[in-house]
Amino acid sequence: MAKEIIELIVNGDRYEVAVEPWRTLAEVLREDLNLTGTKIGCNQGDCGACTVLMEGRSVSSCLTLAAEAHQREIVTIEGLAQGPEDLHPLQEAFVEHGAVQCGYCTPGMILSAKHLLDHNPTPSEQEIRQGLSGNLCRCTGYSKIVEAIGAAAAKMAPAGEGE
Amino acid sequence: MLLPRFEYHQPASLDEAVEVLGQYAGEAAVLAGGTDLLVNMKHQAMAPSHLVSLAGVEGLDQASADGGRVTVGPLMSAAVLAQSEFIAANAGALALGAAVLGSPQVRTRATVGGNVCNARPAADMSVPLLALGARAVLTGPDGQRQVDLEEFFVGPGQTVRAPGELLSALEMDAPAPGTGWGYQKLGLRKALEISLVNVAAALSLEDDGKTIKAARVALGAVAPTPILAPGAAEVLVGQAAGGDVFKAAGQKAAADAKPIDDHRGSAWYRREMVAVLTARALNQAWARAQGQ
Amino acid sequence: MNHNPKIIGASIPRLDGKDKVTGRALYTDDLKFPGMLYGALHRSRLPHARIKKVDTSAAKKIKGVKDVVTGADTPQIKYGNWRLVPGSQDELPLAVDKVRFIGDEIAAVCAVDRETAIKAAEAIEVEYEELPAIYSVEEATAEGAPLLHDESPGNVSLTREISYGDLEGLLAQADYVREDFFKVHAVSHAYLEPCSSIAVPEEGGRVTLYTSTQTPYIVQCLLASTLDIPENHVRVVKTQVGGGFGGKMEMRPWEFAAAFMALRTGRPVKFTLTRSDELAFGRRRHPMSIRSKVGFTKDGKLLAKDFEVMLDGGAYNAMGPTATFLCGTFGNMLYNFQAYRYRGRHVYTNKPPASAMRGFGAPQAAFAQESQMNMAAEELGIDPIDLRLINAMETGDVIPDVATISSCGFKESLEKVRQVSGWDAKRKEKKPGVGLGIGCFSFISGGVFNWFNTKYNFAAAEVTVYPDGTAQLNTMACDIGQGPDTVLRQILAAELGIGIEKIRLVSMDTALTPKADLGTWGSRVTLMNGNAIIDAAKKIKDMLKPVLFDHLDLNQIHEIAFEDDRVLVKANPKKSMSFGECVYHALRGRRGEPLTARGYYTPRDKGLVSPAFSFGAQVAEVAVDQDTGLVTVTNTYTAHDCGVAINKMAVEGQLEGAIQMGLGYTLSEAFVMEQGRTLNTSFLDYKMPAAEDMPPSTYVEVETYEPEGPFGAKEAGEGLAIPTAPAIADAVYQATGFRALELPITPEKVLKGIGRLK
Repeated sequence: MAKEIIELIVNGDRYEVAVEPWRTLAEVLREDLNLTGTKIGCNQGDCGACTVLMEGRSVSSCLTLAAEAHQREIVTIEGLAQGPEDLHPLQEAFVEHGAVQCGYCTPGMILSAKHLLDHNPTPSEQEIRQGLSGNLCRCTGYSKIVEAIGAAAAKMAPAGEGE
Repeated sequence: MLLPRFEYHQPASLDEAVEVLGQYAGEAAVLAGGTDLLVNMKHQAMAPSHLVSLAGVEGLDQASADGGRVTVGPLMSAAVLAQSEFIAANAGALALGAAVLGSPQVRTRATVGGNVCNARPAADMSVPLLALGARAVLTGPDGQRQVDLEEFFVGPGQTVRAPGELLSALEMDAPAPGTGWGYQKLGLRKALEISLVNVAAALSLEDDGKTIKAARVALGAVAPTPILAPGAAEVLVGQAAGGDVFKAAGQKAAADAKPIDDHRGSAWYRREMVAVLTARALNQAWARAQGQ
Repeated sequence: MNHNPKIIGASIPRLDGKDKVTGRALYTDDLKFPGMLYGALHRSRLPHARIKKVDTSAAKKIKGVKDVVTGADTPQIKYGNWRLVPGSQDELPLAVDKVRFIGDEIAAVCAVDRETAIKAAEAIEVEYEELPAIYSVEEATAEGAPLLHDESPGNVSLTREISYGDLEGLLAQADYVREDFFKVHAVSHAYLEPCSSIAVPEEGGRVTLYTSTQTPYIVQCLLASTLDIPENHVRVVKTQVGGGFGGKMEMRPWEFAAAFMALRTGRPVKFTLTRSDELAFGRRRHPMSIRSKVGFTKDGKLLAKDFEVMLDGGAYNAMGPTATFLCGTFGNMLYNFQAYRYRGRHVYTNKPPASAMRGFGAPQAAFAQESQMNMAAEELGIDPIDLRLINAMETGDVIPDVATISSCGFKESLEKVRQVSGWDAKRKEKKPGVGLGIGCFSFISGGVFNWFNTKYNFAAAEVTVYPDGTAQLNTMACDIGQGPDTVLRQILAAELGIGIEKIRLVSMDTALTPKADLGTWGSRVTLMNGNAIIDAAKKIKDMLKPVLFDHLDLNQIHEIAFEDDRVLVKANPKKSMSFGECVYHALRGRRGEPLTARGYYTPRDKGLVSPAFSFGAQVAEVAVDQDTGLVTVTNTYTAHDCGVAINKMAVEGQLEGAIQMGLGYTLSEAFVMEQGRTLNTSFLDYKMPAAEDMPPSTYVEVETYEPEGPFGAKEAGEGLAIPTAPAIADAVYQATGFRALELPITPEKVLKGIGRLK
């Protein structure tokens, strides 16, 4: 079957890409758009390394067809920072709190955290852990990740809210 | 881990979807959330030459109540079901199951229709739906038909849905007053689990708030399909709700289970766990039934 | 102990953090090169078979296929990490005569895209003569068992024996003797980044390999030998590595295949494994069958120990010989006793090879040793912590033929963990379903025994300083996530007295960084590379000091210090100049020669095993669901002597990660195997703990100063992977009365154990 032209809105930028229908969003982001921050850890939806936001909700981009993302708003890890030194509060907190070791799960972790905070700006520790339950990490034991998200939430919360 | 090749169709209406499915009957698979289908395709467990995406079909992602009947749209995602107050009030077991399915990313995409049609023995939404007495509404070229969910499942991955048919709705009776639900799932992890055993229970009390008027207990991962435990329901009805009768129901449910040994667990352990989880699910249902 | 507390011991966020949180960090699979081809492997479908014929004709005909190679096309040179013992090198990159496990690599292809490559690999037809296969050490060592390797009768590839003291006499003399049998299972490293390698051909038959590895130098050497080209023809460049844990410390067949086909086709070739490949065919931790017999006096003094281990090595040696060797060492760590006998055998079976994994034999040996200590304590009527205190090693203790313990905070660790866990009160208070247990550990800070037979120093560093006040550190040390890219810069910054941000790091390129570093394993990186860096920095300082004497006309009795980007007179800090200015003046006298120095470290006269040992103790608290057998770890408390922690946050990170791995090892992770086939090849079925499964963790530092370590530091990466299993097992016993002698402790076993089920 021939390729079809699809339109992706990734981190606010419009891309027109010709894709075969069997290609996943993860593959197209990494290979066609060169947005390699999205990682593939298992390619079957179990590890969360490929997590991106689609229409504001976290999805496994390895289990999403690129065709299904046609005309949808996608946010990848490359879309969070305002500039090379102007990091998103979650990114900043991950660095400061030692939530990063090998870094392979990190982009997916941060996007799952963003999904969580977008829907629940003041999560409890338990809610943070639940929010990360689709993201596996083998280095950190999750503690510093949980800490970092808590700290970012506190920083992002409007005055008077949060912990 | 590449997907096999296929042609992609995105019909814009239910009729069109049925038409496309009919055209490629036998070679087409329906794509809803894809969290199960695409994994199977990557593992080469299936290789349909056509995928019919339902993303363009409107109206399949709503729930409603009408004249004693509750309808759940098959494209409702687990995430939406888990958070819906309507579902919590009218089909609470489904909300409980949806909330613990997979992971947040999976719940964003996974749909209740997909969960039912994939017919996995441990499916987190199918087992609750069975306890809710749900019926599958199938739409095909010759119109609609309804199938009780207990007759819908045939075997692992197999249902009575004909290749040209679509699951267009799930329906069930509105809950009687004094009804509560429970859902118990056993796995080694708190998330990212295919249950070793899962049990859903629905319990309705008489006006006295004690006597059990109706009960349904559904079991997952202990037979080729999600199954009902009629023996459990039998010992419950007419009895005063409480720990002892729930334990007895658990024993009956264990007798109704037909578990096998597999790499996720042994048959005898599963059977034991059916007894434990059934009693716990009934307790949970009872608490909720009283709370209403 | 004179060091800058702003740098040494500080919690400095890792310097590659920003790259990793923004997605800029590049891992091997993120790279692509013009003209790059994609590789795929054809693997054995049988656990044990003779290869009669490999037919590649159909694969070669597929459009887009650029090369297909089988073992017959290759130089057929065996390899293995134990170069010191050539007979132990038992693996071929692509099988020639036989296959020995399901997944053994037989052929490789490369094509213009991944889909074509996979199709071509599948189109290869292999004609086998199936041989009987064996799956356990018991079967493998039974009389008349089929042989995997003709050179290894009885399927035992290596035996290590240690013996000292009067074992029989002391056991006969002992008031209390017990003998127990333990069984531990295989688990996966489960690093998040699947292995990936790209080989790029260069002029003159040379090749550059970008690869996800924790031992680039080993890969360079073994790739050269298997390709039969000079070592200097191979350049290995490590990219960011998404975890290793011992699973990426050998040359792998796809690295060979990528390089071999890149040289044949003249085009870059990439291989990336899938998670299913990793779990189905990948390296894993050794399953072991362990027998341990110990004798005590009635007041708890450990007299003697007889320790016997059979390691299930799978189809090849891999890092099994080292694990066999180290098990013997770990069997007599922690406690002093007069007589010890160890017999370790490495046994072949028709399963994917086991190899190094975090702890390298110690988690297995310690599960036996520490469980047995807990069992003995109960029968002796002595508190388990007291029993350990009676026998604990101390600074200055000697392990015969192995090492002198130059720093040891074991007793302090026991006291501290007793205190923070509320041990005394909680152990007295018996609540059904709730329990508290203990496990202890010690681990090496790098290995001494040169099994790789390198002719170079074990660690090396090249430091260059510039008149703008900056420095460059070239090191082969390998950051696979644990943090040496940051920690080693802390060490250099502290030694040179400059800011850490002033240091550019060039790491892990075998063509550019000084020979050698043996890689990231055995918790060796901080100690060995730290020492090499300090050595280089001292040489730099010696080149800079004369500048100050010259310019300030100093009396020769003065000592010079390097602090806060300045070089100064220690007794009169006002007399100083900036570090950059000092370099500028030093350079002027060198007729154009840059200010560069190399430093080295090789442990010498430090026994056979390691220059330094970490120590510690961990207490785990559990709640057991008595109806389902499900164990929930509700708390962990750890006291840990890693010497001086160079980076506190990094050490904590090691601890917290180790608990995740230890928890999985103990309770939920296992390979499900049937006839040599791994059945659970996804993260859904291979159950490593997720965020909600982790218990809270309390951490107490026990600071000692290790004289052999840089700024007093020793290892922190692997020892922590050891204590969790015996601690949880003990806690489960306290909670239920069921003592697990086998791992993992599944709910089924617990229920069975407490007699709920038949």
